[in-house]
Amino acid sequence: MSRARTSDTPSNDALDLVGVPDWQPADALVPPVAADDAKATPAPPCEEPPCEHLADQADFLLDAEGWEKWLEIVNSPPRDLPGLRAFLTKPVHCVTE
Amino acid sequence: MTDRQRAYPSPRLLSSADKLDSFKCQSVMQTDWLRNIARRAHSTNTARVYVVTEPDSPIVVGYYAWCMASISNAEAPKRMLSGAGRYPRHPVALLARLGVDIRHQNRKIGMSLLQDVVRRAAEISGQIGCLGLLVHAETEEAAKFYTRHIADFKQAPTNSTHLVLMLRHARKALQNQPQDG
Repeated sequence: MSRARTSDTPSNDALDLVGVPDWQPADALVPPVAADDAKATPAPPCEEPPCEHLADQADFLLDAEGWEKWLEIVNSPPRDLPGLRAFLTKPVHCVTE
Repeated sequence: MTDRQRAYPSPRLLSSADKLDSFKCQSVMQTDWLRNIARRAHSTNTARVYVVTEPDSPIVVGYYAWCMASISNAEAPKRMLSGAGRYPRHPVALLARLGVDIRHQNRKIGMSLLQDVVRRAAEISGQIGCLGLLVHAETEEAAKFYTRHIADFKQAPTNSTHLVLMLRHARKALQNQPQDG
């Protein structure tokens, strides 16, 4: 996903202030294993990024035209508020067959 | 629900006990990401992963992964992009992955995952700056899934496969909702 470290990434010093270990590349970190999970099969090693074109970018730069379109969306009224309300409030019952 | 049917649990955070190895959805990329990347991304907080499991089982049958992202005006002066003056960089939440196991499709699991992430995004956006929920739909068919459920998803200018939902609309939709009982 957002593998690229940008200039906005907090410095190690800043992270230390809140008790977070020094920043490391994501691939260098090993997922924490719970005590009762010690016998679990470890996850397979991460190879080359398999999803490069699938939302592995998290910072998007827009040109002037794109920015204007973005601002239009930001300022636009809702299309279907009742429909959105219905979707968000209706209980979803997922059951097996 | 009949006697033989069982209810899937609601979406929840990925845990170390969850089983991911058998997951298979229509997208190879979404499948590989959950199997090979999800735990690492989740544990390093580069993304948070929510899952639905089989009833009374740790086997994951649906998931989504999201993280924070930003949309910026590339043509703004650098001093503005660095934070001075007006702020032409907008924070959004990015729904980067959502998939349902092919053996568990057509059981509203995708709908449950989408409802969960939009509700969470709406709640979070009331507490910290976050303008919208950006969705990266892998295909046009996937994009239809989102617009079929939520007409307010609009094509985002960030990418031809991106959709965006303004979270102030979602917050408004959740305000003053009828109370049960």
